[in-house]
Amino acid sequence: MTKILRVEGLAKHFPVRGGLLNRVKSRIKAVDDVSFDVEEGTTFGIAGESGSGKSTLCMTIAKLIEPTSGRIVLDGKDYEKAKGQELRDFRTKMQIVFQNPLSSLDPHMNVGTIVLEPLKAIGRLGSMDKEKAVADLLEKVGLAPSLAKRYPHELSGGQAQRISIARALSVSPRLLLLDEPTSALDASVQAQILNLFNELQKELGITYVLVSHDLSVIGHMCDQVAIMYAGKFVETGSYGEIFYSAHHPYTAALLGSAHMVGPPENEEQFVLRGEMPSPRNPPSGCTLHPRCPFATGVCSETYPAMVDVGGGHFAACHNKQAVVAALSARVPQQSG
Amino acid sequence: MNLVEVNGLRLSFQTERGQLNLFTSLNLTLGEREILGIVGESGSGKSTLAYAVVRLLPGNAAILGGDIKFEGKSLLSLKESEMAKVRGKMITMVFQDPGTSLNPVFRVGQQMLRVIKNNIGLEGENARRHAVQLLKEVELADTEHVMDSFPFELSGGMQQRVMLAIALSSNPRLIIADEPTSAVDATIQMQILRLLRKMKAEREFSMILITHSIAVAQDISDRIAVMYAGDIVEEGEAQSVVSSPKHPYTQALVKCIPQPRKPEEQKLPLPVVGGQVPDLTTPPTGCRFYPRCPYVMDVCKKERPANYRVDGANVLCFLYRGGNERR
Repeated sequence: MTKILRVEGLAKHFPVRGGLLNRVKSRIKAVDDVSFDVEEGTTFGIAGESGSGKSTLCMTIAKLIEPTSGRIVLDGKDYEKAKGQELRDFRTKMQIVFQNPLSSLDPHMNVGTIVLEPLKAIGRLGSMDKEKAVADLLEKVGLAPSLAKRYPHELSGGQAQRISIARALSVSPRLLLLDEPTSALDASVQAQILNLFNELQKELGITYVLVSHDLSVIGHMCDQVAIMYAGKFVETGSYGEIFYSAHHPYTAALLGSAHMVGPPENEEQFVLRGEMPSPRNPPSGCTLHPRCPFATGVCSETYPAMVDVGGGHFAACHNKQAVVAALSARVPQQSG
Repeated sequence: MNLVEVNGLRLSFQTERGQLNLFTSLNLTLGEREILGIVGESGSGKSTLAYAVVRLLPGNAAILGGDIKFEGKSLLSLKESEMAKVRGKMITMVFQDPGTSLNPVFRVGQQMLRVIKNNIGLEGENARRHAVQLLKEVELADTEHVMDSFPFELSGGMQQRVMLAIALSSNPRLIIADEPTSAVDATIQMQILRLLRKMKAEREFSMILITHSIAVAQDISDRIAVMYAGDIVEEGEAQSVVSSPKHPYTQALVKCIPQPRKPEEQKLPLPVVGGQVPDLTTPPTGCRFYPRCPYVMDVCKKERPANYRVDGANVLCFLYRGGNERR
């Protein structure tokens, strides 16, 4: 297995300015010291709620915004200073699919033009049989070639998301960054799109980095999972480790509120109090401690280190043992 | 007596492509102190049904037949001025996005006091005490601070709690909640659902909960009605609708939600229904689900199915024709 993507100590801080001289008064740490590796042909999932920094992380990885510090290595190459041809090279290796398909498609272009746009941008369109290229791409995502002449407003949400995927696939990328790719879709359409992603991965060996607030989607798709809270990864590990042997109270709370269909569980123990802290004024110590049912004295003083709890499974919590003990009383039901 | 009874409701929209007959003959009942979850995907008519009850339909919608009764009285024959007294007082609403349903230029307290004055006639110190009491009931700490805040100064979860407090202010008989947890995060959604359960235990109201998520509906509803293309295709006790769905559409809806599976089975395909929701300006003849149904029979393409009673549920499907027909 080769590592297709390596992220090292990535941080994105936004300055907060104010006062008479508009000086930088403080910094919002939207993404703070995030590191991970993604193996080729697998899916890496990043789960978190709004404000956790997952979208900023996504945009930083895609080089849509500049990181404050840290390195992004794609396919063995550091693209930190990439410009011009080098940046185009980066874009052909990594493409993005966004949340809202209708707002990420140009309403003035027909479907055929939309899916070929990336090829045009990198200057590979010249000698191609355009009609065949469009038909091939549409077929890959399960759409009829006759759709090529349609405009975005004529498409359903599911069709529009398939077009976004076809457009991303046009340059044969090695890695697709999926930012909440099914959050705007109905449940039955979501299932179709998730199946499509898994079929494409099997067929093309493509790698995904999937960002979602929905743990049921993460659980269906991802080989490796990272849970993000207030700018940091708080727990990382394989699908099985995170879903069946969580060590962090935030992971436990997210799993408990994921609303997968099943008998309702009233586990007061895992309900977090209050809401995500303001990033302008984060709590001392562990950022979760004001909300955490397991918090003890040490939690308000020092931020816990990411500790290996076995088998490449890391968690940042002072009270891991208490969480594990409480969780062992309930195991998510396995189905199908 | 049922609090709400919808009988044979026929409702159409005028669209650019012609008349869209959404409801052809819809029936629904809601008991006292009952939470009914109406579940469906976009375009299924779940919101239209709820808004029809309070007569807040868009201009191109028309009720062509049937009746809606509230406490035994027909709401459709009321004058608009009489309906305005029912709305906000007897029936209140909570909308999906609290950020857009609170007025951004007034403090939370001012907005609450105005609603309290309009709907129950309380003013001054009494009204303020009532407002503080309501904010405590929805578990907001530091109520004075909340009253003095503008909506944008509160988080989404706090705003939704304020909306709930306003909806409770007139001690309504019915609350219509339209996707009340869809705009908030998972951990906040959990808190709001817990709060709704607590409110239901302490107060005497009924609720129509509109949601796209069958899991959310299952969490707090007594009964669930599943809608597809303007039809209630299945209606029954909440747990059994989810654990043993009868209608092929309900079965598909439950099965297509990803569940935690053993790692070796993790990525196996999710069961999906092929095709798309029909265009209701030219609906399929017969059952509206037949073009996508895995169990389609000849009769489904010709006739509209009736409601059949199966294990306590009402199911709009010919598969259950052997059972007893309700109407």
